[in-house]
Amino acid sequence: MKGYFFKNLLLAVGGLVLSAAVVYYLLIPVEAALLRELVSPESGTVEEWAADFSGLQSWVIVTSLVVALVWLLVALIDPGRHGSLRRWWMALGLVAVLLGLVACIWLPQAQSGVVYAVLLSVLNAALLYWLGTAWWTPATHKYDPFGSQFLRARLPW
Amino acid sequence: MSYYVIGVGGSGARCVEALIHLCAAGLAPKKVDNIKFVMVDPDTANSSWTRTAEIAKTYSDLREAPKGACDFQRLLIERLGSVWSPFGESRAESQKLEQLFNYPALPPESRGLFDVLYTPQQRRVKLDIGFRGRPSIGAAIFGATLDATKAEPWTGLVGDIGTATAGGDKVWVFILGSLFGGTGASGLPTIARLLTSAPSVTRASMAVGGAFLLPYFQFTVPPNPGHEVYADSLAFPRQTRQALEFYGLMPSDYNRIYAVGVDQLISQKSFSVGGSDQINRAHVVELLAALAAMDFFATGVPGLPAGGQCAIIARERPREFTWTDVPNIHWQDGGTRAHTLQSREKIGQLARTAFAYLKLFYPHLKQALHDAKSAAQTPWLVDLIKNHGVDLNEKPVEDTLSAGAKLLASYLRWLQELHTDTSSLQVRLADVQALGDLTNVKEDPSVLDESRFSNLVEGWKDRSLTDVWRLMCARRDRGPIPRVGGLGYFFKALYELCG
Repeated sequence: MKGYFFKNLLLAVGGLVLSAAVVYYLLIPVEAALLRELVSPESGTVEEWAADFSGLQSWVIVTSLVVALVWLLVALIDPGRHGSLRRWWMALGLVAVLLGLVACIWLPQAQSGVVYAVLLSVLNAALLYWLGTAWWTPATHKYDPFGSQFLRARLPW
Repeated sequence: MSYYVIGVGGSGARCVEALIHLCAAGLAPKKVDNIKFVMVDPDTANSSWTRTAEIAKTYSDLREAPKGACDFQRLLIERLGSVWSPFGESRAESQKLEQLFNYPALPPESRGLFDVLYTPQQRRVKLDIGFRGRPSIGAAIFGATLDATKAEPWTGLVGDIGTATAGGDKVWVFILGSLFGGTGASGLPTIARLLTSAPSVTRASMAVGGAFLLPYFQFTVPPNPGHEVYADSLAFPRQTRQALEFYGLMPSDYNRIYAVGVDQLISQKSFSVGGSDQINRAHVVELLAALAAMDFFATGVPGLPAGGQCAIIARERPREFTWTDVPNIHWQDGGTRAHTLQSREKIGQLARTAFAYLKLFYPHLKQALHDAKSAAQTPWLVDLIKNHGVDLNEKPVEDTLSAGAKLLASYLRWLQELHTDTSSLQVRLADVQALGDLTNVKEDPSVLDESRFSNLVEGWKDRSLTDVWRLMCARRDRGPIPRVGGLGYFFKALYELCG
């Protein structure tokens, strides 16, 4: 059984880092570019505002990663014999989203368009949590996250 | 190649039951893919046969429904007809020895001989529930009624063997029964003679083997047994000796004989003259007799009996029966490649599968039949059942799952019964404390003690039930597996993970 735990833990941690990298390197630059068109900062340039947004998203990614990791550990330890933990998964997802929302407090002031930044921040938190858990949850709870059956049917393991 | 098993009498019935369990456990040699069995007993209501026939049916149901590659789905076991009684269709409560031979109409000298051989009570005793431990009665009746040209299953059996051997095919026949009672002792020689002397059979292409059970149980006859003639276990050793002398003195129709017994007899709790009241628990002697059948199928050589060799095996310890006392099945392919089926691994693997299925997986499956939502999130239900096109709402699927539970419960019960008698012989094959009262285990799996699962099989520590669950969840069979379909994927995964 050591093999089972090691394999699932390795996949979970590796998968989370991969998911975070995808969000950080592929998604956030696109979002920053989008916000440059939509946001009018109260002070400073729009480039500076977008850079602050990107920096803040690093914090969102870290908090979502931590929450997803908590879920993955719970799923690794609980054998799932007494049923699904989908409610726990949803609750933790809500925590990740709330933390993404909380991060928006530190967004720089803007005359308009800040609502898009808030939406994207929440989206990043939810997306990372979902990607990380739907793909990489250990075997016993792999179908607890919504959409995981669809995603995992395409995985080679 | 064709393989036939004939069980004679109550002990024969229980040996056939053991044989079915061993087939389910995968202890049949690879070349054997079909076994046909015949049941012989004047006591057609004998509960041992009822139980054996039921297990054989459940086995067939489970083998057919989900296409699978498990050992317990490999072999085809067919029953030829119902229990054959020497009294045929006319079996009635009034069957008596003197009626069968038309005693009143016999010439005086024949009647005199009859009087010498049988007491008036024996002549007039009702025989509907067997020969009551009297081989002298049974031998006369078998001799008079066993005819390959008149009644099924013998007509069909001899016809099949004749056709097969005439076409150059090899046939193995194995006959199981007790030497110490009435039915077995009288049926064992007569049935072998019937088969080997049939004109249509080519003897050189047929191997006949027998497992002869020596006394292994005893019972106390109550002061007023309610019958004039009844089996008396005090007479068993004497009757066995006489029977063995017969085989020593007379030319045998058997290519190989396995005489199986124990030095400490178990005590059956209840006394019964026969019928559905006669319930005897499974015993390791029956397990050994069934293993003898497997050994014979693996290594028996067709042809005329050669004789001359005698091999003896015995227990390692005086009052214990452990896995070291259970022979493995060995054979060679074409005299070159050696094969071995390890008895402990095979019997243990099915025991663990049965435990895991009844304790954990069957209850979940039953719940999933009524709760599609929970089924959608349980990984093994999705990957090993739903994704292979199985609809849990279909009645045949439910029936198959139930048949699985029934077969595996009967297997556990049989394994447990082997350990029942602890007064004379300590059987140490499985931790039966883990099993509890299995009467209603299908509905109430709480009788199975999960904490003992890892050590269920003596001397074999394996993964826990929760670990089996985890690995079932992780299991995915991508792409089709030859000969496997439907529920077969689930059973295959569970069986492999319990090995």
